[in-house]
Amino acid sequence: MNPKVQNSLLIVAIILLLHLALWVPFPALAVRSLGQWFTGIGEVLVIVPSVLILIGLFDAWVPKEVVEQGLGPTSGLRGVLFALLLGTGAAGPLYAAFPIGLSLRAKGARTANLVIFLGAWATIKIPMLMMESAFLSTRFALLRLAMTLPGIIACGFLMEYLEPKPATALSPLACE
Amino acid sequence: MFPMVLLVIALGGVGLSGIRDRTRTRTALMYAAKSGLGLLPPLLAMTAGVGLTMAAVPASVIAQLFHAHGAVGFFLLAGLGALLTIPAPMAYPLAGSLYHMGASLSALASFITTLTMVGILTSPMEIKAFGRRFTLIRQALSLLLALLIGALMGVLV
Repeated sequence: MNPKVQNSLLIVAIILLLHLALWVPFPALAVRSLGQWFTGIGEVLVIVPSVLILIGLFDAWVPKEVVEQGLGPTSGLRGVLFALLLGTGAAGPLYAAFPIGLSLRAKGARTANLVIFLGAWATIKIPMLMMESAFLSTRFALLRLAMTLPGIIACGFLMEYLEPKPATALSPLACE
Repeated sequence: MFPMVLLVIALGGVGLSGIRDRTRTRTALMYAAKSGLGLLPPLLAMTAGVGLTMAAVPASVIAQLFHAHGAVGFFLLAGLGALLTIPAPMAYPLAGSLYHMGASLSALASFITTLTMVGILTSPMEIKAFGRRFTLIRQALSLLLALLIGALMGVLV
């Protein structure tokens, strides 16, 4: 069996056992806790699969090679937009972006664009925006986006000012 | 309502992608299934933890913790977010639960931002890739940005 499925089943078994142990002294609490758990799983299950499918589609249709072009020192505003676009289009947690960021830097991307790319990758993603709207509110998601976007760009240029000379790029294999 | 819209968009995307390129669509769906399976164990554990907390601790007590100690709740969440980097599909349900428990939107804005942008526990990977100085400056700036966003959110919401 798939080890990830095995892990999930193991965790379900542990949680059920814990609730059984809890049920002996506190039956009402155990029942309420299980109820909350099911509600929580339900809330997640109606949203997460759609989001994962959207991310998968993004990842399949935006080729990785595109990610590694057009971010050089003279790229200016277009480079910034490109960095934002690349970051939002790809999938995975921030540390998945490090190897790509490394190859960007190795290919001559300026520091500002690199930082903007990492920031966009971390917090600005269209499918994630939908998820944020669902779990918090659309107003919250849009407000946070409106503040994060200029913030990330400012961080990028501030960072370039603080460290204008890029550190020598290590091998892209270093963090794989 | 919202989940339905999301599902329709996702299915529409799959349909469109399937018409254009079958193999690519299969890759996309495989990716979704694989990352879904990977997310499942921590999601199960997290929802159970949240469920037990909500069942054991009265909502009013949790809300009081966030309200009476507004600043403490704010920095607690921002700090917790800075320590961990968890995938966004887990960050939002967690933030949603905390919101229902009474956490302020302003604290949650900085929580989500630090959660996704600052990762002290994953910084060794970043140091390996870009060096200590780069990592330190980027994470410090991101943390400041997150606190600023949280504070502004408090004013705006």
